[in-house]
Amino acid sequence: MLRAPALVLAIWLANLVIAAPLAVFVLESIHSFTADSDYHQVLLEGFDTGWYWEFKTSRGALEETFSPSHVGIGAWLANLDRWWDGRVFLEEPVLLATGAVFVLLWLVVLGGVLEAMREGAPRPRLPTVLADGLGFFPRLLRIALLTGGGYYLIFRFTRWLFPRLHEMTIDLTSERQVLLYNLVAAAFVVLLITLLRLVSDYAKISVIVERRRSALLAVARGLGFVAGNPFRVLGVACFYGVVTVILFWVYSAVAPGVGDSTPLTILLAFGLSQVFLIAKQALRIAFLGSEVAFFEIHG
Amino acid sequence: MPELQRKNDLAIAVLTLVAAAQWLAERPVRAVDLSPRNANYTISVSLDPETKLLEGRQVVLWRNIQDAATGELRFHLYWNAWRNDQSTWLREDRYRGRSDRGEEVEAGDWSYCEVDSIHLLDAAGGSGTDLTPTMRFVAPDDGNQADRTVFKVDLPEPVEPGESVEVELVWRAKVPRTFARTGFRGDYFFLAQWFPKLAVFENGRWNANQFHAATEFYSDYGVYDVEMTVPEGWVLGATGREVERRQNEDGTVTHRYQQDDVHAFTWTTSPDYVEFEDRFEEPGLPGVELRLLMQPEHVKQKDRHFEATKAALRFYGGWFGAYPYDHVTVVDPAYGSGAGGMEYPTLFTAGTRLFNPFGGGRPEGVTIHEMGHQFWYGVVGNNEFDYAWIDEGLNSFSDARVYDQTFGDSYWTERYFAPPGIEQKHGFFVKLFGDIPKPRAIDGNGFARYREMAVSDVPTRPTWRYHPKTASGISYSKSAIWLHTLERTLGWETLRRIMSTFYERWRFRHPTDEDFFAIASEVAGQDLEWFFDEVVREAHTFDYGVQSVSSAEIAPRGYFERDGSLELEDESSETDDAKRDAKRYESQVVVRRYGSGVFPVRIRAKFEDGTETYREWDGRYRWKRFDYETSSRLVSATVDPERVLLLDLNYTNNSKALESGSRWPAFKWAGKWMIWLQDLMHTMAFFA
Repeated sequence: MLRAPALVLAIWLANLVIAAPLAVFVLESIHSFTADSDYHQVLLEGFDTGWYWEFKTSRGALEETFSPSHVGIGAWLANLDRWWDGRVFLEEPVLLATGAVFVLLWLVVLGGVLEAMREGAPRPRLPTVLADGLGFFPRLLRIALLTGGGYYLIFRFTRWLFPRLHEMTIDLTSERQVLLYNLVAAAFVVLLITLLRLVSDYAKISVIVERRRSALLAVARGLGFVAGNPFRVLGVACFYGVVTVILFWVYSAVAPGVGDSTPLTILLAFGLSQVFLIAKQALRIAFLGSEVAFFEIHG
Repeated sequence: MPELQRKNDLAIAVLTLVAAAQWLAERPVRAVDLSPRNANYTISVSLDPETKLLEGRQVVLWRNIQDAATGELRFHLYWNAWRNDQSTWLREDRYRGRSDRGEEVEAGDWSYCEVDSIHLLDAAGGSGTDLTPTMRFVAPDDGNQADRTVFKVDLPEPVEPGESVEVELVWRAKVPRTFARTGFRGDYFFLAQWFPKLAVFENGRWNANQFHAATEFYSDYGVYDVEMTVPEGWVLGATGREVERRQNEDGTVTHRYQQDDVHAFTWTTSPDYVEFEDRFEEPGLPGVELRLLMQPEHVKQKDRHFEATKAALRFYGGWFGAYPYDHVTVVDPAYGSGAGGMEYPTLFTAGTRLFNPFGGGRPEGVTIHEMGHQFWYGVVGNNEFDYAWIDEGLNSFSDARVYDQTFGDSYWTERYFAPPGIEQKHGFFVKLFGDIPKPRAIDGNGFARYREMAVSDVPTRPTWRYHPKTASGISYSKSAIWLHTLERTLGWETLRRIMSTFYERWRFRHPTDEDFFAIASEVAGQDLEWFFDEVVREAHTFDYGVQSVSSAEIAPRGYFERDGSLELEDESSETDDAKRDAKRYESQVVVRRYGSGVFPVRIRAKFEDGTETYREWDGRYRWKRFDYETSSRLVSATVDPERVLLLDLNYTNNSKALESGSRWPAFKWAGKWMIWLQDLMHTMAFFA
């Protein structure tokens, strides 16, 4: 990551550019709805729930996704919450399609990023990263699809697990007890997701490092690697998990609320949130780098 | 000495008067019956927590206070609403698409209330006529023969006006796993509408609606004397005060509670309750003893419950009239019991969760609301089948006001990470957004819910005939909003007097909506029929807006008569600088009534020099144009700038500026939305 800050910025820029058209659409929608009215000043200085209920129900499906709870760390919490209960798959198709474009772009870039993190690899340059990535893309895409199948199985498992848990706890009158049971179940599900994520990561890394051509065999390789080094693999993951939590904690403390009311403060607030996204992206790449190094040492 | 004696006598007289005043102030309000007491119950019931069965015996003493005789009695058996899925209640619950329970009904969840026998007691109180063979279920509302929530029995002789009858019922009931906030969860039992309840005989007939999914209850006032037997060690709370407690040989305990002048009796029991006591004291209002039954994990929130209850007693008492009883029980229901947020005479359930932050509205909001129902529902006993808005609307309006006065705005909260795959479960973790207020006028009154259901039904239609999906939006939110509109129209003090007069005249009686409307006009000193015609007697939409604004400099050109001769007026020919610089503007504002409802409104015009001009419009025709000739250009116009008409569905179109504002507000909020979208994409890529 430190060797190629431009890489992190390029991925961030791609993320920004892909999101921009929809954001402009929403911007114009808010502007056309509000520009002439007294709410214009109200929205500049803060927020108004009366305006929000009107806007939400009088515009289209995309604008319905707009919510004041997306302020600050709320955006991340809202996304995670929607992934947790599967509502993300009920999102507006245009949002899912936009996300799919970014995912494909990420998979294109990922191969080049992993190649650039190999021991002895030259300082990465963007054209090289892209060229390498395109070469690896078909295999990484197949691994991603297989991983998606794994996530689907976990999703179905949660749809079985939590209702069963609910039935088992239906006569418990203590929220604390019910929460505890749910936390244990959630921790198990998170462990499953984490393991699947790690298998997928090491499968992709094996494609890069060992030049594997078969996605299935790569997944098997990844599974074997994780099974052979469970605690070290999880240890690395936990380390980055903790750093991520610290990042979110810091962001929750400094994240802009609704008080940005001048062009300068609005731009600063937007900029600060972009810095958070860049930091998230950088952390992800740093984690991948650690995984590559770990695989090269212990693989 | 005589002088000293007189002074001593005077001092003693003054002290005696002060002491008497103090004693009177601390005494309950009444010294006589508060209500007609025409439906009196003596009930004995035992609960078996293992089998979830109640076995009961009750004697009902009913006095005919109407002008007509009746040859029958009608009773409600509310718990038969969940006897099977063919009941009217469950059919309507399915239809409204928002299940009361959010989970499948299992075998042990159903309930029933079976009357094994009913006897007409003779004058000596002995078993007289067996009425059991005459029992018939009736379905006066929808003809649903499968519905068992109302039955009637025929009397051997009619009960004439002023006469009384006494009947004894032996019955048994199966406690449901909570429906409509009554039932059990684990060892927690909350028992409402649990016994055969006499309907109301009025206007020459029995008013005995079936139990509907979107309505509540209606019954007469009386005296309740109830013995409840539960396992030893179980804490019990009920309507009224405990007057006796007996230890039984079988390891059970019988609690006897009594309460005068109420129209229902509810009780709850659990081995887990933690009990707290406090007292409400306020100058000018009678003291009230507060009993709080809390779940162990919520005891840190006990002060929040007490504070909210006292706020309701203080403000409702000061605004409308004193709470007439000297005690109230506040119940914190068990997690997942579904029994929260409901009112019963002298007892109510609040409802809270772990980690509920202060400022999010709970438990304070629901506590104030349910305590408020002691006034609107408990004391003013409207028929909730027909006029649910009277208690729900008046109370929603009132509780929002109390919350606002006591705590200010509440704030936007979100709950995250609910167990997947389970309907209607809210997340365990909560975040309060402290810079997004939810003001009383909008969220306190339930504006979002009103907006969704604004014209679904005419509010004055009997509530049980509303569309099941929208009853709450009309009864609660629309009613609260039009009351708030009335407050802004008449002023708070006038509305307060209307409500206090309604409270005072209809205490322990059964008002209709027309009774409220009549009092409103009387107290306001003006005919308010136009208001109620528009707002309540029809299902109108209200939407006023500024259609267009324009402002142009007046620059007359051409020949004009001046001092008897023709002069050419042209800017280029004007030689006087003062005249040339004294600009005049001709501005026009067109306002339009987009909705079907009519309401008088004000129009405010703002000008560049900071001046503001107000005009009145009766709001009747579809549009009106206002012309202004001023020395300053028009900047913007707003219809209803004070937002008197809170019923206006689209306030955004109420104002229009001559020039559109910048994109910065839109950029600000679209930017935040964009961050969310970018993060969503990040997360998708993380899983890829």
